[in-house]
Amino acid sequence: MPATRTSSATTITTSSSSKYQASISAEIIANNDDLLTEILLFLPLKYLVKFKSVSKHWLSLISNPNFSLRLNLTSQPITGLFMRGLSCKEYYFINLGSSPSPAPFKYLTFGNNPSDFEITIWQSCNCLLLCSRSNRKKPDDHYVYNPTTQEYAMLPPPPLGTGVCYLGFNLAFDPSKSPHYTIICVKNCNDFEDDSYQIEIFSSKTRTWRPSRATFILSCYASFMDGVYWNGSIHWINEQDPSLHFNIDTEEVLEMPMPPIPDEQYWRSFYYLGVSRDHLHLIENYAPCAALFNVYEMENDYSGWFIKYCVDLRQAATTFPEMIRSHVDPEHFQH
Amino acid sequence: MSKLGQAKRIIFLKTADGQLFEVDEPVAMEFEIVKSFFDENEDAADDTVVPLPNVSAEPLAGIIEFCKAHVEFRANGAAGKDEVKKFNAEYIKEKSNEQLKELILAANYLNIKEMLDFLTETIANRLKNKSVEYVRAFFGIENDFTPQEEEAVRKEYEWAFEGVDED
Repeated sequence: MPATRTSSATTITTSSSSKYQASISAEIIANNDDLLTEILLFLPLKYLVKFKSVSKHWLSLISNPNFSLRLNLTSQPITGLFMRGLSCKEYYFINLGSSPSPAPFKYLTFGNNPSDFEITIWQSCNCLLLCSRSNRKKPDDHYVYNPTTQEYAMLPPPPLGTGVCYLGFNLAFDPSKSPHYTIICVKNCNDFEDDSYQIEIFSSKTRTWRPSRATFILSCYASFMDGVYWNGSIHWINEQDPSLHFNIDTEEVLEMPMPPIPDEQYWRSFYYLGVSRDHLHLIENYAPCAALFNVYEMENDYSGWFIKYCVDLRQAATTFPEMIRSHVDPEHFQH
Repeated sequence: MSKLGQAKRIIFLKTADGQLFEVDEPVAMEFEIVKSFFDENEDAADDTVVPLPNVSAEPLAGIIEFCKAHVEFRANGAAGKDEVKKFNAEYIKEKSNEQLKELILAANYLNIKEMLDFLTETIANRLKNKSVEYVRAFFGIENDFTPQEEEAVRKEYEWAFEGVDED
C-alpha cells in the first residue's frame, strides 16, 4: 500500500524557487492560449496595451478581434459625459460610473493635427466615438476613435455622384455581436426638388463603402448627423415628417412611432435622443418652463414610447438660476 | 458533517509522483475530471483509485485545502461573503509565484472552475504595475522582437508605459 496523505494534510513543502527562473510550469502556461487568455482578461486595458510588446505571440493574442470581443463582454466600460464650451477645445468629463475614472482625454488630436483644425465629436456608440475634423476644404475628414486605447481610424470619403452630397455619418458598433463597426452615410441630390435619400454602408472589416438598396422619401429636413444606434438600427428624429430607423441587417428604412406633437405646435421639439443601458430614450419639451420635461423610453418591439421619468428641475433652477441659460453646448455622450 | 448511519464516501486519488490522497466525496466532486470519471464508470468499486497523471502531490494538497474550505462555505451559506474573501486572501498570501503557477496548471487539468477563476485573477493582480521584462521572466518568454520592432510597438502605446514599477 502506497503512502497515504489525507485531505487534511496541510504540510506543504515550500518551493525553493521563489526567485525568478523559467520553470516548466511557467512555459506550459505561456504556451496554453486558453489559460493565458483567462489571465489577460483580468488585466486593465492599460496593461494589455503595454504587454503587447512582451512577444510576437502576446501581440497577436491581445490584438486578436476575438480577444477584444471577450474583453468587451467582461469589462466594465467607462461611463460618463463629455462636455465642451462652444468655442473651447477642452472637453470636460463627468464620470457616471460606479468607480472613479479619470477623463480619457481633455483635447482631441488625431495624428498631425494643427490646432486650428477643429475636431467635433458627433456620436458615441459602445465606447467608440465618431468625430469629424474640419479641413478647410470640403468635406470634413471623419474619424472613428477609441478613447480607451487611443486608436483612431480615418474613414475614406464615401463615393458621391455628381450633384450628390452627404447629410450625415452614423456609427453602429455592438461588441457583443461583432468586433467590427459600421458607418451609415445618408446622402441625397443637391437639389431642393428631389426628396429621395440614399444610404451608403461602410464596414471596418472590409474598409470599403457599398451602396445600400434602401432609399426613402422625406419632404422636410431631418438631422442625419444625430443618428442613434440601438437594437441593430440607426434612429433619426424628424421635426415634421415621420421619424425613421434604418435596420442595418435587413437594410430597411422603417417608420418609428413618436409621441404626438401638441396641437398648438408646428414642430417636434426634441432635446435628446440617446441610449442608456440598452434602452432608447427621448426627451421632448413643449412646456413653457424648460425645467419641466418627460424622459420617454422606447418599447423593445417599437410599439411606442412610454414615460420613464417626469423631471422637474424648477427647484434646482431656483437655486442655480444660471443653469437656465447655460452657455455650455451639451454634447451628451454615453459610453 | 455526515449524518449518523450514512457512511461518508472517500475518493482515492493518485498523483503523478505516486502519492495516494483520500478525499471526501463532495470535495473530490469539485474536480470536474474526477466527477466525469465516476459518471462514466458508474459501477466503479468504492476503493477505485483515480489516477491523476498530470498533477503532483504538492499542488493537489493545496487544491484540496481550497476546495474543502469552499465546499464548507457553500454548505454554511457563506458563499460570496467576506469570510470567503478573507480565506482566499490568506490562502494566496503565502504562495510563491512558482506555487501559484503549479496550482493553476493543476486546477486547469482537474477543471475546477471556481478555483481557476480565482487563480487567473490572482496571477493577473501579480502582473499589474509590472514591466514587460518582469512578465517575460514570469512566464519564461523569450523576446522575439527585433529592437526596432519592439521600439515600434512601444512607441505606439507609449502612454501605457507611464508609472510602471521597476520590477
